[in-house]
Formats: sequence, structure tokens, C-alpha cells
Amino acid sequence: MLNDLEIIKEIEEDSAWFEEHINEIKKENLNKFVVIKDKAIILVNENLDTLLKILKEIKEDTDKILIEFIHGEDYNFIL
Amino acid sequence: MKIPLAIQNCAGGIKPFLFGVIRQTQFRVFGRIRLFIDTGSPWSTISERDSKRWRLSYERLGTPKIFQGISGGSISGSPLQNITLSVKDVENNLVTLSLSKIYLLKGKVSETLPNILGEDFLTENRFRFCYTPCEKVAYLEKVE
Repeated sequence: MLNDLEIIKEIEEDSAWFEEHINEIKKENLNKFVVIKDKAIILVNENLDTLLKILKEIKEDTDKILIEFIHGEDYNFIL
Repeated sequence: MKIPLAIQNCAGGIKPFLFGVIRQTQFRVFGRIRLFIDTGSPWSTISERDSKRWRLSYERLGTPKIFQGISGGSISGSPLQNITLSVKDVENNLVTLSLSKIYLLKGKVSETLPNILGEDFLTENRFRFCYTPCEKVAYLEKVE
């Protein structure tokens, strides 16, 4: 079982990988949810509930993944 | 104590993010989390994209708060109390931070929003937020 520092290191690595590859990920996954694990996209779906259901079916631990939504270039938040 | 932040693209521009492990014992909340530091928000919030993994009963969390967006749209959020967040400092030490309350947003719109650590988090943990976008450098620093 990983300790918190190891988990944080994994998030940093997965998130950095996601950031580095965002342009190519955007090309095929616009307006979809993507699941990132071990520096790879392991699942894509337009619907979050469906995506979580599939993750449960394939027994993927949802505590050990990152789920991101891929926004289009024309989508801008003012937060 | 300094906590480094990652500068990453999100929804139209670069934003400073904190990575950590979130826990809340009563509702057995545990998981990886990526949160955007937003000094413009008085409150901290979690997107339904993350909170749905925890399969919480929102009714047990307390009275929801309605948040008004700049566009005039509104969204509700239920309070999750007594949260801890494990993060690492610049020297690679594990640091445990606390937050008395974080709102779990509800609805389709919230599924696509980033998680937010707002001014409440900075105040409770006595952090100074330093951000230099042109150099892509950001960190939190404890005010002693």
C-alpha cells in the first residue's frame, strides 16, 4: 500500500504527463471525461456516470486515478 | 514552510494547482485530488467529477449553499466538514493541512469545473499565496 507521499508523487507525475500531452489528448477527446493512470489515458467517456460505472465493472480503484474533463479552446472560465 | 504549486492549463488559461490526498473520516472520504488555488473565491469547493467517486449521501451533509456565478447561473453545494489534506512541502516532507468545511458541488455543470481551494483555506491554514504567472512559479508560504 502506498503512503501519502508516494500517492502525491503519482498524482504529480500523472498530472504533468496530462499537461504535457494535452494538445494531442484534446484532438480526440474534446468535451469528454478522461481517466488518467500511470501516465496514460485508460478510459474515455462523454458521460461521467457511465464512466464511473465502467470503472466499477473493471474493478478499477477510483482512489488511484485522476478524472479530467477536456474543454474546448473556446471554453473559458472566469473564476 | 513552503508548499510548491504546479502551474497547469485549465479551462482557458494557466492556473496554480495543489496536489494532495484528501480524507474525511465520518464519510470515509479518501482519494487523490487536484485543486486550483482561487483567491477570488471565499469558499473551497469540489467538483462532482471527484465527489461522485465517494458515493456520499448529500442529504446527510447538511443544508446546501447556493453559489451564484458571474454569468448569473447558480449551483448548489453541500458542506463536507472536518477535512484533512496531505500535501508535500518544498523539502519533500509530508504536511497535513485541515479545512473546516468544503462544499461538494452538485449538477452536470459542476462535473466539468476544477476543484477550488478558496480564501477560507488560506485563512484557516495561515498561508500567503505567491504567484508569478510570467515565470510560471507559485507556492504557498506559512505566515508565522
